[in-house]
Amino acid sequence: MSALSLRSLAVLQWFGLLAGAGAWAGQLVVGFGVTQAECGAAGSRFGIGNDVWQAALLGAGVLAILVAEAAAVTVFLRTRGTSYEEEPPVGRMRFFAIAAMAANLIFLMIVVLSGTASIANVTCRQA
Amino acid sequence: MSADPARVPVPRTTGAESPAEVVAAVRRRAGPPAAWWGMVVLIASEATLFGAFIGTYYYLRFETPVWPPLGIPEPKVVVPLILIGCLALTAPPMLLAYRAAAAGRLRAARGYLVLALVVQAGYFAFEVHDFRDQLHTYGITRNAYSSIYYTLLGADHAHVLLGILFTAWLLAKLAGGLTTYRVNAAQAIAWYWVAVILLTFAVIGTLLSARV
Repeated sequence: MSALSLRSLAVLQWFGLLAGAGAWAGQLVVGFGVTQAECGAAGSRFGIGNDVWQAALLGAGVLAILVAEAAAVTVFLRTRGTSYEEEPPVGRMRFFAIAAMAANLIFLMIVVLSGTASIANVTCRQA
Repeated sequence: MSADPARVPVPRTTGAESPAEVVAAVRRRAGPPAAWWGMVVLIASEATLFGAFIGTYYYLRFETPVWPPLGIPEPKVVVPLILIGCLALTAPPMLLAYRAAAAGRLRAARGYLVLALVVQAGYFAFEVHDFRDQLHTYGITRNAYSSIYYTLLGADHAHVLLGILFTAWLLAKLAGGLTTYRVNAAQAIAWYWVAVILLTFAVIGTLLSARV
C-alpha cells in the first residue's frame, strides 16, 4: 500500500463514492430549475438561456464525475494486495472503491445523456 | 501504510469457522464490515425509489379533485395497521438473532430467525391474498390512482418477499454452523428488515392518507 495516510485515502474513498451521485442530483435539480425559469411566466424576466446553462451543468457534472472516478481508482490501486473482506477501514475502502468505479461510469452516462437531451430537445412546450 | 505488528490480525469473513473464532474476530473488529456498508447503500437506493413513488402519489393526488376517484373504495384502515404492527414485531428478533450469532449462540440465533420467519411469512401470505382480492375489485390500469396504489403496494410486498428469502437463506446457512461471513450476513439482513418495516410504514401511511 501507499505512503498516503489512511485518513487521506478515506477522504478519497468517500469523495469517489458520493461525488458522482451528487453531480447527477445537482444537474437534475438545478437543470429543472433552469427549465422552469426559462419556460415559466415569472422566470422570463431573468433572461436565462436554457442551452448555455444546461451545457455548463453538463460540463461541471462530467468534470466532477471524472475526478470522482480518479479518486476511486486511486483508492483501488493504493489498496491492492488487500481484500474487501479484510478488517475496516481498509476493507471498507477497497469495497467502496470497487463500487464507486462501476457506479461513476453509470452516473457519467446518465449525466451525458440527460444533459444532451436537455439541450437537443425543445425546452418549452405547452402542457 | 504499514502493518501494525501490535495489531492482532482479523481473519477474512470466511476465515473464522468455529464459534470461538467467530466471536473473537467480531470483537476485534474496528468498524462495521463491508456487508453492513453494502446494505446501507442498498437501503439508500431503495429509500430513493420509494421516495420517488411517494412523491408521484402526492403529485397525482394534488392534480386530482376527487381522491380516490369515484367508483374506487377508500383504503381499509384497521387490517393494514394490525398487519404492519405484526411485521414491526419481527425487527427485535432479527436484531437479537444477529446479536446471538455475534456472541456465538447459534441455537438462540436460529430460534429468533424461525420466530421472525413465521411472522414474516404469515404477513406476506395475508397481504398477497388481500392484494389479489383488491385487483378483482378494480384493476391496475383503471386510472392514475389504481396505478400508483398498486405500484406502491406491490413494490413494498416485493421487498418483504426479498426479506423472507434473505431470512430463509440465512437460516439455511446457519444450519451448517457459524462463520464470520454468516454473522455479517445476519447483521446486514437484520438492518434490511428494519428498513423494510420503516418503508412499509411510509407506504401504508401514504395510502391511508387518501382517507383524509
